Amino acid sequence: MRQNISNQGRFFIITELQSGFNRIFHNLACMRQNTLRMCEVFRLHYHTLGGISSLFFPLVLCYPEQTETQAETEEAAMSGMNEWIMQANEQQCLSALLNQPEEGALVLTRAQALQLLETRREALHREGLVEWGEGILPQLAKRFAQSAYLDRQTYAESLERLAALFYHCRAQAGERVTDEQILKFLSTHFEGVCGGDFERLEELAQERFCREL
Amino acid sequence: MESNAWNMDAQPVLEQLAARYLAGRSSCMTYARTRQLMEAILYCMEFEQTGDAPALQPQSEEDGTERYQRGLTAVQQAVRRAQLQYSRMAEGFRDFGNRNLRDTFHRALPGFFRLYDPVFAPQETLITMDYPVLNRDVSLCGIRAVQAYLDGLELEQEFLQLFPESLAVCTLLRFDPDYRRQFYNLSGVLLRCVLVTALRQEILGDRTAPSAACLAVWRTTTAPAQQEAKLALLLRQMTAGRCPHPQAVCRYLAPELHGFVQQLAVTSEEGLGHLAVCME
Repeated sequence: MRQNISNQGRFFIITELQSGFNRIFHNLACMRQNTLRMCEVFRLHYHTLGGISSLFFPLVLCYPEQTETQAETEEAAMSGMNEWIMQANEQQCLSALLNQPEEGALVLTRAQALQLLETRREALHREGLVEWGEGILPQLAKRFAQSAYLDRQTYAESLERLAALFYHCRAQAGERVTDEQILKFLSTHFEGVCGGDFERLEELAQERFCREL
Repeated sequence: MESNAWNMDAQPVLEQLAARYLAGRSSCMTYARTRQLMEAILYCMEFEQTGDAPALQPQSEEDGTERYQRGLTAVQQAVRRAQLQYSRMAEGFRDFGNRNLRDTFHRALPGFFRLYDPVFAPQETLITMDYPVLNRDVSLCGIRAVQAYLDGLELEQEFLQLFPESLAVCTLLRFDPDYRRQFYNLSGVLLRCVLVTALRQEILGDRTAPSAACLAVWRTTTAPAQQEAKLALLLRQMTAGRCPHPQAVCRYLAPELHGFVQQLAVTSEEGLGHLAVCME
């Protein structure tokens, strides 16, 4: 009887080992989702049940895999937080947008500024970003207000495209690249090689942005 | 994220912490980074609430920022306390040549103190603490986990100090010639060995009989509950007056006694010799 129980114990270890390896490979495949931590995946434990000591991979190797429902809930929570943050700083951003100090520069109407804020909201949601303070839009507007390639008719629409492109670059760039570097990249290329062509600027942003910054 | 009320309290703090994190370099951060900062804030708030010091004001009247600040201070103090505890333990720390224990204590723990970030990531444990202590609580994280781990290691060291180095190494080698590369708990092995040695004299009246013979007789003559009580009594006698904190050491080693009794019940006759060896 004792022998049987002991054998069962060893069998249990083997099944745990197999199950552990399966989970490792499965979980490694899921690591792109950034829900696992390596140190948890490769931990070894000492099994004290059998007569002979063995090292084994425990059955639960890592944090529980995120289910779709959990992911959706988390996404909704982050989206809700983003809403809260944006509501808190939209007024600040709007005031800064409507208060462009330099004479002769292009300006936005209130309706255009509100539309720009809507574009910003969509872009941030699309790129999975949260923006703090008054945000980048006032700086973006200031940087392009003197552009030779923009006029009063196209200014608002152009800013919307530039804002979407900026947030895309921001999401691609990671934390080491500053806002100023991205703005400089966009304005330099827009005024330079692109000659005011947005499609060319978007292509360049895809091709050269990561390489140059 | 503990509750909606806490989140509401934490949101203004989050804005301040995000500004500090971004330091003017950027206006945006990813959802993942925002979540990390939110977790950091909630960790500090919870740490303050469940810490040793009683809360000064009722929570409902408190500002989230104040609660966070007090929590952050508590975390920083806990880190300093843990560092002092580590320094105290480092003098005379004994690993008996076990590589896992040595690496965990001399490399991983200093690495934790070097890299731990109480402001932006206090909830991160950073290290796996591979050497298994007997009272590991896997639900803890951050400095709390390291604090609990150090407490466990300190009690274990108190127990290990009872054995002369040469006797401990000799016993461990006889138990497992490869013990220096193994991942098990040393105090558990030495505890079993010393208990079996004491039982041998009492049960068989023979100082030379092998451990397997002693255990084979004992398990047929004594019920598991009595076995556990007997082992606990022997442990109390062994630690009383010899360890600075005998009761805490007994509590720490109690799971090992329970495990030993359980193993004894299910191990085959041939396997009894692997459970423990007598100290010579």
